[in-house]
Amino acid sequence: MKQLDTNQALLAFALLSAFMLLVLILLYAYLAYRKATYNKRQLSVYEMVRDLEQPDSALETYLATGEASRRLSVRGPYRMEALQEALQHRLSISNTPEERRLIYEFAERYFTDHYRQALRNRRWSTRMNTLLWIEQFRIHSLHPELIRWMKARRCSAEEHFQILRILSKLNSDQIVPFLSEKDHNLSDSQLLQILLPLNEELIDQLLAQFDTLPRRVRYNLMDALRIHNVRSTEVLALLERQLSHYDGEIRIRALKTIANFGYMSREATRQLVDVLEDEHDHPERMTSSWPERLMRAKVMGNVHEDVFVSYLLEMLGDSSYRVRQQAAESLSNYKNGLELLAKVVAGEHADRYAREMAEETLERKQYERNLA
Amino acid sequence: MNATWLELIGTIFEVISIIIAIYVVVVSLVYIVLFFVAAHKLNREKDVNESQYEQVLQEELAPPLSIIVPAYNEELNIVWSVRSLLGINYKQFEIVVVNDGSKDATAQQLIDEFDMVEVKSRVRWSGLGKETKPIRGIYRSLQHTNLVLVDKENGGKADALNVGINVCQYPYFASLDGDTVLDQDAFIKVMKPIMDAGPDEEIVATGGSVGIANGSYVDSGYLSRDSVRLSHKPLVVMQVIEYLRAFLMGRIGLSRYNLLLIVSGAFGIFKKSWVIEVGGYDVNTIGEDMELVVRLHRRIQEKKSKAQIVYVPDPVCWTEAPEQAKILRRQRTRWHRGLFESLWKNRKMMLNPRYGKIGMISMPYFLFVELLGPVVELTGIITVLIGLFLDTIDIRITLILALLMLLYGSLLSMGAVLFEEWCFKRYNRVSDLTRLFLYALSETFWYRPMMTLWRFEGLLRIAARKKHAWGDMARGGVMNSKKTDNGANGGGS
Repeated sequence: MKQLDTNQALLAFALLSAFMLLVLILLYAYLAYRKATYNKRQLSVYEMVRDLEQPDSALETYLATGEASRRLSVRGPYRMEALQEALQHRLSISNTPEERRLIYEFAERYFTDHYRQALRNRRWSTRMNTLLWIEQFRIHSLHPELIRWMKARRCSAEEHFQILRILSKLNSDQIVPFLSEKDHNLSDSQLLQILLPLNEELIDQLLAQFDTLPRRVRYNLMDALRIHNVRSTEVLALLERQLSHYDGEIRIRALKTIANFGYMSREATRQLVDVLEDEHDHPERMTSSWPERLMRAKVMGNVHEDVFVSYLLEMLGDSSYRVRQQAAESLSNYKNGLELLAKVVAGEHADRYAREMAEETLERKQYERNLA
Repeated sequence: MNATWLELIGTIFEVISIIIAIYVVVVSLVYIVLFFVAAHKLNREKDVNESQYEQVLQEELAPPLSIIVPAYNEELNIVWSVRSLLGINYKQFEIVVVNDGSKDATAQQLIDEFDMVEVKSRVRWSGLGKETKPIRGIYRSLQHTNLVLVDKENGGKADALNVGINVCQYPYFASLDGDTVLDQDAFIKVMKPIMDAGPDEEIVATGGSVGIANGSYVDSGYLSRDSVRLSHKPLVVMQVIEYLRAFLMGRIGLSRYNLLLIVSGAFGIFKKSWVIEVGGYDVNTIGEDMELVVRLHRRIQEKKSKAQIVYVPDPVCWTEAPEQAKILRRQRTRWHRGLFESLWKNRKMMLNPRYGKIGMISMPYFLFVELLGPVVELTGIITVLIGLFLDTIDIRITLILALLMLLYGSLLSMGAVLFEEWCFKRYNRVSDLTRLFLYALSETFWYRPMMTLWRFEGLLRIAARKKHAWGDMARGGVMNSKKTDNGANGGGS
């Protein structure tokens, strides 16, 4: 009996081993095959892209004349991949709007059907890749499909956000209502990614309803204005209005954007001086956080007003290192700033930290001047 | 010896066999589960177009980052390390090199090369309430305003990192080994989970995969895609397989459920406020990186926070693996001691329901599978040998079981190679693949027993309790000069 058990066990184990060996060999065969075909594909795509980039290629002719010859067909193995890559590369180096327009037009004409189908693919990575291409080539005609898929329950979070990015690049009319509704739990970076590509018209629409926008959309909208260097009187007025907002974060972002603006109205200057004066007289009431004081110091360095100098000197002795650093940097932007710092070093400041910071800043400025 | 004695020995022998059998079955199941979790995730993401993906990661939106580079006797490569760091794709960052009382000219090299001057004013401390070795001076580069050097007395890597935490100013910091070669987009890739975290999510730490640079061509601190080659040294190839398995199966599987206890020591990003809250790095342990992550998990659980520690499967950095058995052995015994210390110092969490799944799943996993694995394996081998000797075990059964384990191990290894191929395609040649396959088959015969022995030795050395200093140096030919005793904590799975 015992002998039989052992034999049965042996047989079972042997079968299992054989099975595993088979799986292992199949796995290796699959991997080797995959690698070989992948390499082959890479090579032919690479060769085709190289041909497409020749000065007399069909693609160059199209980009020069706007006439697509039959040689630019997307049919044939890897043709589509090669064209996509060539166009993408072209987009990344192209700087004429006309050329971009031609590329978008070409993609719209020849790739749309393929993309439409790929968006229905069951594989997540296929859909995701397609969305990335759609973003690159700004395919307008897929707008309805994108909206539909975005609202579908099966749409993953990554796809949802990717579609938002596309809509923003297409300047879709869906973006403003979407953003004004709620902030959708998107991260700051994600909100900014949606806000930055928007055109002037959409930004103006958002600015018109600024006060009713969700809080975090407001923060990031101000950052977007700063990154884009938007300089209009309307924007400045809006930013200055935020300076008396109860929310500290709103004030900080507004200050940061104003610092980038480099200009401030009379009225706002007076208001800022009032606040600084108030904190000077009643240090016990001082409620501003160090990032806010840092941004104030930055504003005062970029908006040159003589009235700011005494506050900057005072800030050299701030309890926060970074505020002191910024105050010294801001002072050095003034015409007689370096002399003022030299005086601080010479002992005209009661605070030791202030003297040290002034010395350090002078040293660096000296070095920078020597380099120049 | 009389009959009862023999009977007793027989019973003990039987009990041990049964325990080992159960252990083997359970561990095999654990690996299968990890395998399928990883397979599920990676299969979904397979072939996502990476070149496009990178364009999406706009660097200007990334939060400012402090990069801490602890250095000990690195005069030969510290300058190019810093140079390649200064060239990374990232908007706002500072580099804090901490010279841990090097006996060579590490500090002077930097001071001369980057025009560094001493900072006179009081530096803003991050407020890590922990005693560190005294600082001799802090220097700032006049060429690059974002480069800082802290010169301090020798106190070990953890102490150097603590000083770095104190001096750095941004909310996130990256800890970096001086000898790690980073992918150009490493920081962006690893910061992505932090950038994508919604307002009610919090990421405490992130880390990425570590690759092995041996055999590839590293050009002044940069390893390009086309230069990746699989080494021809058997020891290195085995380590490549081991790393693939550890990172692509173990860590993805564990990270999926926020169970990960390791963020690679070679390169990880941490949220400073959390690290300060838990008291920074522990200076009395070898595996300070793992110990910190365990403590962070502990704090997260104690605060009942939903904060997460995330692992990014993308390969983000390269390190040089030991090519000599002697050094590899030293590395592995160290790692194993480090693993023990991390678990021992936080033993309160072990099987404690208060610490949720970390206490109930992660800690036991690392204790029974990773730490005690070698003990069980050795006992298993000895039991089988005794059994064969006493003729209580059928030799045919033994052989076929051994064959089964061999195939099983090879399957897992090849699974990891498959994942690599799906997602990253680092090794470009079919011949590399074939070699990985053949080496995976051979693992059971030499590499695995060797590891088991060395890790067991690590356990024995715990009794010795040597104080942790810097790892011994060994110069390799891959990156000018290299420290090889550090690097990824690649606890195999």
